[in-house]
Amino acid sequence: MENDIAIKVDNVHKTFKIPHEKSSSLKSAALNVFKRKSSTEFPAAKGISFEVKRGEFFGIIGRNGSGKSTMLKMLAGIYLQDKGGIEINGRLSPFLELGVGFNPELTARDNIYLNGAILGLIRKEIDEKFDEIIEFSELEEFVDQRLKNFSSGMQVRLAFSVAIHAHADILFIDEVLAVGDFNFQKKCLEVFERLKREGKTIVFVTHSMGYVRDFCDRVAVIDKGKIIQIGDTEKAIDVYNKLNLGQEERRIGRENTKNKENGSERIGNGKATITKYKIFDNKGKEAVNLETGEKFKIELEIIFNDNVKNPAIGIMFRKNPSENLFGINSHYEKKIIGEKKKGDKLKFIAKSEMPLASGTYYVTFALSDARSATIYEDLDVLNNVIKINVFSEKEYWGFIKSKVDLSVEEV
Amino acid sequence: MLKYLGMLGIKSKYRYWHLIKEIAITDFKLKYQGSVFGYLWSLGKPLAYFGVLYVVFTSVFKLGNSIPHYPIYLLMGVVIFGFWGEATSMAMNSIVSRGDLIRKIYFPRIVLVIASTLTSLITLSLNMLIVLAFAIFSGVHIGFSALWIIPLIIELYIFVVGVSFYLAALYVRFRDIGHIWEVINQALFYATPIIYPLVLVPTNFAKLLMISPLAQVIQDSRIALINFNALSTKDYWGFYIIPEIIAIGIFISGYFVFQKMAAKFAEEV
Repeated sequence: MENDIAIKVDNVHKTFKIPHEKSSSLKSAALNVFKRKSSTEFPAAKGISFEVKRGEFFGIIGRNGSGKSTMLKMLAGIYLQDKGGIEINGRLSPFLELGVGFNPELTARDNIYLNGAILGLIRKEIDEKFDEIIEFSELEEFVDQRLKNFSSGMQVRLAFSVAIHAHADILFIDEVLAVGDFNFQKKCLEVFERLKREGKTIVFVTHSMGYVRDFCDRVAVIDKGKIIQIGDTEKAIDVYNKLNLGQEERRIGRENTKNKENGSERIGNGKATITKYKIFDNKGKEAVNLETGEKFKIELEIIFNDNVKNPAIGIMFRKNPSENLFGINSHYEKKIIGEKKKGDKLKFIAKSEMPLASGTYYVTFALSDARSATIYEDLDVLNNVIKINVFSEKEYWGFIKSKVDLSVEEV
Repeated sequence: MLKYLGMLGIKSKYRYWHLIKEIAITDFKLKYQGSVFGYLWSLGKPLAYFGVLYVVFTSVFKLGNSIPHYPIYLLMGVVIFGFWGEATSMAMNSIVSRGDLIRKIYFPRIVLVIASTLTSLITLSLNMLIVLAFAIFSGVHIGFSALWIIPLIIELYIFVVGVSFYLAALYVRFRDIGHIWEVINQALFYATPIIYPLVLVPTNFAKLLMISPLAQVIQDSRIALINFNALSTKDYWGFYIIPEIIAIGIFISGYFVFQKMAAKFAEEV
């Protein structure tokens, strides 16, 4: 292996056989000797190849069940690949998970020695680093307390502290940032920056695109046991987001169909019926995904079953089923529809720009007979009948996105 | 010892040896809650068992009366067999009980079996000191031959580790081995000259019994410490070697079987 390559993965395959009947006893094994064993095969890696250079911060992203954790476990030597080669060039500290081997009955001190040994440190090395480990974890007063009396946050701090002091050349980090309070997370990030500066090779698995953007030099996207994108960070994040969007689209689509079928949460006196409701994106395609700021269109079709004096139409976007965020109302917009007779049909079109930040929102359609803004009669109300997914390339705070001009002046 | 571990395929020898030591000591601490009292308390069960056997086989069956220093003779057998039973059943569980560790981090899995048996070996060493104390107290003359106990324990330990390799690896896949092993051990207790003197056993049968490294180690330890006249493998076969070959053979084959199966532990455990 060339000297500047830390990890080389060459055409690695791994398939898990999941037996339909789990036999974990000699008895059942003996009884089933002549039975054909049926099992489902689950391929977790289908010919994965990549290289990580020395000193690189390498990200692996992918959806749940994509095979990224299996890949990491093969890198760490926990799983053995069926086919293909993995070469690791350097000393490994696989803190795939923190606090492995922690024993609640032991004191923090004993746990540091045990956990350190598991991470490959010898007693003398731990002796030298002991004070540093304790200081970093901010647990000076609790050194000789048993671990079972620690809060989970304290345990994580201790575990992280031991892990980063196990001086390895290659580190595997799997979603460790999800835990701990804000201060500690900040500290962890500082450590990552330090490790990066020190030129350690790091393989980082996460769902947080923010961290990927901040730290990773190169990123691989794994889907269904294959690498579908490798290299540039922004490109990888883009691919990953699209992947998630596609999945989200299908899920919401299914749910919406179900809601349509059930006609869930439909109230009103029945003097009119909303027969169709659709949301279109700026390309005119029926959509459940909209981008923040994107122009969109809503179309409703209505049939009147009785005479209605002053029909009005309202559309509401909600975060929770009860929290109104963004509404469109024909009455407020001074769009007078006028009296309708039994049997009349109507098509209502509303166009707007999506002001909401990324997230999932419920949409409600309401048709009423309005005498005034506050006195009205519900004709047909479809409460939270559609779920839409709003996404955004940029990150910002809160639920609402508005155009912003920033300027900084020296004074 | 380090070179020896290297032979076991442990590459970063020193680090893994350190890990073995750390796990063994931790387990030992946890077992006795880090106190002398904890250890003494743990002696209660085998001593009580010894007491029962002693009363039964001196007052009821009068088996032991023909043997000089029968209490020490019996105690030696009970202690060694106790080590065998404890070490093998703990080691059998050593992989499964550390499933969380195995699923999350890599180290040679063999570390766990060796650490577990070492914990039992520490206990055996302490217990042997107790046997020695009892022996001195009851007036046994202790000669240099007592030192033979050390190589005998090493032989027994090799045998125990070898059997543990098989048990620990198989237990990952077949969880009912635990019960089967318990029954086998009960049979083994009576198939080993612990409570009865070999003289009372028909020669052909005794010849068979003395193939067992366990029986041979118990008998030879008795010869070394208490009674030169006790019978052992050599008296039945004319030479040693058979139990030793069995112990080493099981150790080596067990090692290969274990290493072969270890690759899949993380998925199966």
